[in-house]
This record gives sequence, C-alpha cells and structure tokens, in this order.
Amino acid sequence: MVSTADFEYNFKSLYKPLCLFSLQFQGAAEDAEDIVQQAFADVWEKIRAGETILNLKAYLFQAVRNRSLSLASHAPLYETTEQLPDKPDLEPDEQIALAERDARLWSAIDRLPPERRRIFLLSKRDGMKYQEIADLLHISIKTVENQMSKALKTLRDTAIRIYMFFFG
Amino acid sequence: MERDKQQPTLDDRIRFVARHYREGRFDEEAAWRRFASSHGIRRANRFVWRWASAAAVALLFVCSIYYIMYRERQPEWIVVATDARGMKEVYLPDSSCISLAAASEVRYDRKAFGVERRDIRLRGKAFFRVKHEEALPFSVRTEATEVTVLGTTFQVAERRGQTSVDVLTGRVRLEAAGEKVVLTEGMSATYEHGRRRIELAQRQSANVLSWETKVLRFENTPLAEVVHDLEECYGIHILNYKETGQKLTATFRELPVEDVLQIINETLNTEWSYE
Repeated sequence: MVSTADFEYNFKSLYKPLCLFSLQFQGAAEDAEDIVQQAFADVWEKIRAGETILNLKAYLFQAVRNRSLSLASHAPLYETTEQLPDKPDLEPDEQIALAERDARLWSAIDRLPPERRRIFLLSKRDGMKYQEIADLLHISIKTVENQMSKALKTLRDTAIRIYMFFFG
Repeated sequence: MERDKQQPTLDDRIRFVARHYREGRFDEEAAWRRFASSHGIRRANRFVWRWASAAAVALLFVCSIYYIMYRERQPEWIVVATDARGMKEVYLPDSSCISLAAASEVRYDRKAFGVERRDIRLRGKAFFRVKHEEALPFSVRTEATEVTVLGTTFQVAERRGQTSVDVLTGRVRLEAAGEKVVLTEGMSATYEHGRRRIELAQRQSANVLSWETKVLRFENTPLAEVVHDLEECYGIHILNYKETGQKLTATFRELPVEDVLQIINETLNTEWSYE
C-alpha cells in the first residue's frame, strides 16, 4: 500500500521529468502539465482501488508517452520537428534518464542568478545574438559572453554530475 | 546530420529545455497543490504529522542525551562486604590490594576510581597494600576520618566509636575533625569519635595486623592483652579467662585457633576455650 506521503514524494520528484518527457512527443507545455496530472490521477485511483503498480515510474512514463502521442496525432504540431527523429531509437530506460536529466537542467536554470538567467534565456530560448542582447540590456558584449559561459558551465556541470551518479 | 543519432548532445538538450523554459512553469509544488485539492488530499494533516513526529524525535534525542549524561555522572559503586566470620581479599583496578576483615565493607566508584584520585570508603577494618602512584592519591574515608597516602601498607579500623590507623610501611596522612597528622612506618593513631581528638602512638601493638598475617607474637604480654589479640586475630570470643597476673611469651605462626589455645592452656595451666 502506497502512503499519501510516498505518493506525494513520487509526484513531486517525477513531475518535472514527466512534463519534459511529454514535450518530446507534443509541443505544448500546458498540455504536458494536464497530461501528467491525468496520469497521476489515473494512478491515484488505481492505488485507492487497491491495485498494485509494480514499477510506478515506468508506468507513469509509459502513460504520459501514450497520452502525449495520442494528443499529438489529433492536433498539428506547432513546434519544429527537429528533435523528434531520434526519440524512437532510445530504450525506455534511457528515455527516462534523459527526461530526468532535462528536469535537472530545468532546475539548474531556475537556480541561475536572475541576470544570468535572463541573458541565457534571451540567447537560447529567444535565439538572440550576443550583440542584440548587449544592446537590449545596455551591457557590453563581453559581459554577455562571460555570463553565457558561466551559465553553460553550470548546466554542463549539472549534467556531468548526473552522469557520474549513474555510472560511478 | 553529423551528430550521433542515438544520444542527443548535451547542447541539444540544453536548447530543448531552454526553449520551453518559463519561470514558474512545471512547478511541482503548485502542481501538487492542484492535484491534492482536486483529489481531496489534505496536506495540512500530513504537515502536522511530520512536525509532530520530527518534534517527538528531537525530544527523544534530547532526553536520551540528558539521560546518558546523567548516567555518566552517577557513581557506579562496587561494594565488597564480609560477614561476621569471613575475610576477603579485594583487588582494585590499580592493582592495590585490600584485605577486608570480618564484618566490614569497602566500596568505591568504578567510574571515578583512578581518574584523578583513588577514593575508598570503609566501614569496619581493612589492611591496605597501596600501589605507589604519585599522581593519584589514595584515600580511605571512614565515617569520621580520612586517610590519604601515595603508596604504602597500612590498616584502618573503625570500631566502637573509634578509628585506628596502623602504618606498616610508608607515610600516611590522617584527617579527622579538621585535624591532620602524618604517620610514618611503625606508627599508630587513634581517633576517638566522641572526644574528637587524634592520639598518636609511636609503637603499635605487635599483633595489630595478625588477623591479616595470622602471625601472633607475645613478649611478656599481660594475659588481658593476649585475650584481646586472640579475639581480634581470629574473630572469636575467649571464655574462662581469669586475670592471674601471668605474662606470656610465645610466637604463633598461622596456627588454627584450637592449637593456639591448647598450647596456651598447657603452658599456663589455664582452661580457655572460645566461641
């Protein structure tokens, strides 16, 4: 029997990875959150009905994958498809590990100092060039480069730490 | 595309994550609140429980620490006692040795003994062979007196309202009622509880340690003293003694009391017996 506290712990630790996982099959973040909520609701009902789910994590990822794919087949994909082709080649375990790493990258962005985060997002999310960012924020291009390299180093270190954790 | 098809590169993943990143998006705390409220899960309860159990654990921890500290400070008495007929050898942790006479008791705190000093409490009579330890004074405390030494052999006897100390070797300091005397080899001192005074004797009675050594020496000794020494040595009571003005000269080495009495009776033509 899974206690409410255990369930809450699982919910919180798997929420980000599952949302990011969903985004690999369909492009809308709001839909990703709905899908993950529904997947957890489904599991919660099963647990309350006395059913046992042997591998909760694998089960949730599979459920999110199925729901995301069926949503993607109904609606046209708004995002570019450049990241899609490599998905089917990965094993489920690798996909889960990848999604968990994505979640850690996300959290690492959360923890960046606000100014550095802003510069990083202007570059990587909004696709602005360094000179454009410098002009927008009235700072030197050196500062932009400096902040970018620090932000990228933080994120790479996060990812490396995770690798060591897996294989070490 | 040049890159490995199996494993997307880290920079790809960073770009992927950054593209979807919004502040506050995918917040698991907010998501859980939404989930819990739509499924009737009360989280306040859980918090109360978590705090209560954390507090209980902390309280238990603090209590255990206090209990352990309390236990550490409590003395742990080792008590050795003899009955009216018995006699015991007590070896202390510092390899000093106590010969405990009949109807006596020594005790010491196992935890404190030998830490800064060596404290012994005595009721009755005991003979001490103290291992020399310069840094650890050895003290024998009775109800009224305290005897402190470094390393020596001596006897302390507390009987009938008086404490007597007899030193065989070394030096001994006797303290009672604020008075201090130092006794050296061969000296005796007696403290009368009622009079609150220490009295010194240069020559101790020859047989004061006989109960321990089982050697009795008499040299022109009045019979009253012979009776006293026999009673002390064997822990008996002499019967049929009459004062005749005779004196006894004899040495008895580790003889049973029956043999001693037989020899005395034959020599002095008396009829002593014992109980």
